[in-house]
Amino acid sequence: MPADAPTLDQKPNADGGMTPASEGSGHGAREHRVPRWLRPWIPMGVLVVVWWVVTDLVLQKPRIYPTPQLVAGELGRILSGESPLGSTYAHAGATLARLLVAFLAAFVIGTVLGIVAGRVKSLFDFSNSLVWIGLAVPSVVWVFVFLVVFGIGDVVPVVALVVMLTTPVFLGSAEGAKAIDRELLEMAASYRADWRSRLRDLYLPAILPFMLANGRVAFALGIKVVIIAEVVGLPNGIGLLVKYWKDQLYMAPVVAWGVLLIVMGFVVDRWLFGYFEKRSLRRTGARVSVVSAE
Amino acid sequence: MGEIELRNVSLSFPNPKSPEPNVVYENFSIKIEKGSFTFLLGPSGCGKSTFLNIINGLLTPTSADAVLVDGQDIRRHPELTRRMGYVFQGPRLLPWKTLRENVEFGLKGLGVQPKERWPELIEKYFAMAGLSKFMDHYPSQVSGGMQQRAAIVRAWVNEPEILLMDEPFSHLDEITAAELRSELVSLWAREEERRTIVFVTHNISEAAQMASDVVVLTPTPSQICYRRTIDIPWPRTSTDDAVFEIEKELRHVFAERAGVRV
Repeated sequence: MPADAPTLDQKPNADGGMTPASEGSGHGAREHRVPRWLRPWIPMGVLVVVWWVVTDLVLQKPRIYPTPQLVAGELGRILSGESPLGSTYAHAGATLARLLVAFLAAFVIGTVLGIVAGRVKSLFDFSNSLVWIGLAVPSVVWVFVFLVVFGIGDVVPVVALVVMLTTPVFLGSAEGAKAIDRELLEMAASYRADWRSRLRDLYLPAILPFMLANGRVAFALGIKVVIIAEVVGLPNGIGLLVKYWKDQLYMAPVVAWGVLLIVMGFVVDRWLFGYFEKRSLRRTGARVSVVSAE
Repeated sequence: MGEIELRNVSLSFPNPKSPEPNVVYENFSIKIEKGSFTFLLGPSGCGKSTFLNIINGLLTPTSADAVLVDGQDIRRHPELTRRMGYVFQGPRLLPWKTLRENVEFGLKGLGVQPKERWPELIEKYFAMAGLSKFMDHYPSQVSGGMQQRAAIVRAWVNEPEILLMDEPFSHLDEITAAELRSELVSLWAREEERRTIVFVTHNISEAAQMASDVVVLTPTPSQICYRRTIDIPWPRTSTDDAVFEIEKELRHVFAERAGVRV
């Protein structure tokens, strides 16, 4: 490069006093203009504005196409506990209890089976067809099948959820267990580690990142499936309320529940799984420095 | 304890590329004296590491008259392998455990009793390895040389009568390796009742500097093509004339009997 040619690091710094981290690329400096925490909220804001314009100014049928204001009002009503079918908190509690029980069961079953299948190749091959059943059969089909088998009750959504959530957890854990370093396994064998120690000290920590990903996927899937199960045939739960309002052709509460579920999913994903992720990363020094460099 | 003997051991693996199996050993016999620092030298792929795995019970030979440790066959007495320590080519530490926890993993696995002795053993051997200050660091927070030292501590802390070492210094830079070599020799030599160390390498100078016994193997199917005792006192340096003579001799052996020019 000739001596008088302008170089990138001679550019005036847009943020004034920004660290030289963005040296060598103009792109880097631009990224700092919007604070990181704000970034996910911008598309959300745009979406709400579009929603308001379309429903309030264009369609103007708030009963079927509810406006953001109407939905906000319904959110208030839900949070105050009021609904024509009894306390919203009781319904939400029933839904969450089903989700939690099924999620935990699926997580434990899927992880244990996944580790075994990941370590024993023939078992993994055998499980292939079952995995496809778990992945491909839609939730409504499971719910109908279990309704016939068990009748209306809490067993149906829980069993349907366990069947559906176990599959992704199983797959993730199996992949994680397959990827465990052979050299570490040999080391454990030469030091005669028993199965308990191998599980606790080697397998579980090794597949922890996979387990976190499994948890996230399974929980998000779980929210969707539990509502469908309740809509199809249960005497209570958020699904029942959603179905009630849909039958009244009054959509604002339906959307309001959707918003609440999004918020719940976000909170669980961000804070609960995020917390575990940070904790697990902190245990290995090198990765911490990568994280904190962000 | 510490004497190792293999009698007529044969081992072959199925070869995916040909109907002929891959023969590593055919009627291979060897005896390793108690308290010796025996070096196994040989070209790559001649079954040196396999030998360690057979003694450690990680691999079962296709056939063998005997795989003896102190006169007892380890196939019938697998508990004998609990009195061995194994140092691998790489440190093979669990990255999510501190150095201390990694060493405890070895103690727990081999069932070293009583448990109350663990802290004392850990302190003692970490101090010997010069790692006292780093016991509570994670492997990723220390250098490669320190990781390998911790792996040696993990093997040594069980106070095994037999120590198996598979090219433990080959991945390290020369200065660190030289340091660890002399530390290992002094650790071994200073004890009244010396442990048996079986050390696998293809580094001839390493053998000349450290070994009390050298065994040279041919390419597979492996046979012993040369064996000698080296009675030069430790510490030895590579600039010692006597050590240099041994090194020269070993190079000749490699070229003439193992078919490898080095």
